[in-house]
Amino acid sequence: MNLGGAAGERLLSRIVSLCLLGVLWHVASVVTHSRTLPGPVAVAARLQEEIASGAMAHHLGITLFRVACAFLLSLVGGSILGIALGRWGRLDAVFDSWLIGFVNLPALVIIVLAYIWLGMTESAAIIAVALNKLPSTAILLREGTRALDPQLNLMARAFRFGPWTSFRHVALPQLTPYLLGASRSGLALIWKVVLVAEILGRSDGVGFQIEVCFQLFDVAGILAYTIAFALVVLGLEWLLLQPFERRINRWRLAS
Amino acid sequence: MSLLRVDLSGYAIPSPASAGAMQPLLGPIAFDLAPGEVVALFGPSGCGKTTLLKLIDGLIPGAGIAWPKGKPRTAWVFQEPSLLPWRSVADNIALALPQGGDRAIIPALLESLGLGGWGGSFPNRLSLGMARRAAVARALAASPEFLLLDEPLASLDASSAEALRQVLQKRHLPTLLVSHDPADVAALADRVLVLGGSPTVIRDTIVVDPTQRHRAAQLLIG
Repeated sequence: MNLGGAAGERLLSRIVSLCLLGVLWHVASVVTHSRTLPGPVAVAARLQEEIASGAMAHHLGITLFRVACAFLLSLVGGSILGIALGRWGRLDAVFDSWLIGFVNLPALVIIVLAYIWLGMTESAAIIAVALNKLPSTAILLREGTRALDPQLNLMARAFRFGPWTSFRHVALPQLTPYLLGASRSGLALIWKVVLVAEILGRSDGVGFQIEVCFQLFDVAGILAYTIAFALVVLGLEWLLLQPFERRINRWRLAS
Repeated sequence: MSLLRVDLSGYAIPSPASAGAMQPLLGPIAFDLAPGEVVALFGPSGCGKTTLLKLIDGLIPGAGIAWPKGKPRTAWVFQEPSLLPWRSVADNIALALPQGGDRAIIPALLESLGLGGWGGSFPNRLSLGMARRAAVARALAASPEFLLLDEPLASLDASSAEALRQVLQKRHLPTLLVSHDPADVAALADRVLVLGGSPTVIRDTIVVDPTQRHRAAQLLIG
């Protein structure tokens, strides 16, 4: 792998920073010498144990599936709603107060109500998590739609671009920063809310495992699952979101 | 038979900036445009020249516009180049090609406008003059039968303006041109409609002698 000077330096900084965190953690666990703060070596051993038994792959896999479904639902639904609200003022006047209400609703309330109304099912968990993120995605995309450049819109109309061409080549690139923002914050929020939904009403997944570890006062288990999940999210950020962002922003770098 | 007939008598065209205002922006403006003719609308900023262009092309709703031979395929050059910054220059032009249009014409088109080799660049690499020329290339790529030019030479340096002028003069497409610069208007137009007043009306019409364009410019300055 050929890393440029700046990229290589950035990677090195990240590795050094993570190592420093590991050292601090180790020192803290040695100093406190408590069951409530196992050191990185103990947690790594526990992580290895869970991976070897296949439990980690199973629980992590099902949680990631829920995250992906809820993320897609909230992103697609929130984007459509946000664009519609940004485009049509009358619609926005009707639904604006709904949006403010939903965006301020605690995640726990939505999850509990979804389980009561839809049953303790997989779809109830996914819908509840998606509903938690959907209003904020809609708000972001509504602002993005309001900020669309009217001159480019006029150009598209003057050159008789069809609706799809206009959306794909004129509107979507302008909405991309908002979509990326919604994706970033969406991923961060959704994976936290998924864990709550799993604790409350599922019998598998990382949230469920953390709940079991909590019952057994197994802090190493809690940290092992948390670290595994955090690593997956970091991987998604570094391997998927950031390269995608660089690719679509290459025109900005060209100046 | 004229190509375009404009007659706003009896229609109130409100200002887009003050929708609902009682005072109309455009008064009873009426003129014809013959095939192959370049007509300039000359008047101060804010008098409704661009609004009139949009009205003529159907970009804003209104009445009083007739195309006796049927609506031709139009293309615009805006005051702002209005290129999509996230698409290369060639891609911007390709988007304006008519259905089934051949992308292969783009390099020659760019070459003719002094932009050879710039097709793969993003618009933020171009100077304003180059971007304006790219916008002209986009308009020409649309195979227009009628051109609408909104201050196409505004804030360009002398050599860029001259290059653009030559390209537009060479094509001599039926054109409606908007400008508040007497030199631009005199250089490009066959006939100049001088707009003014409130609501805006045609105050004077100047037919430009192609051999004595400087005289038309002097008249407009006067």
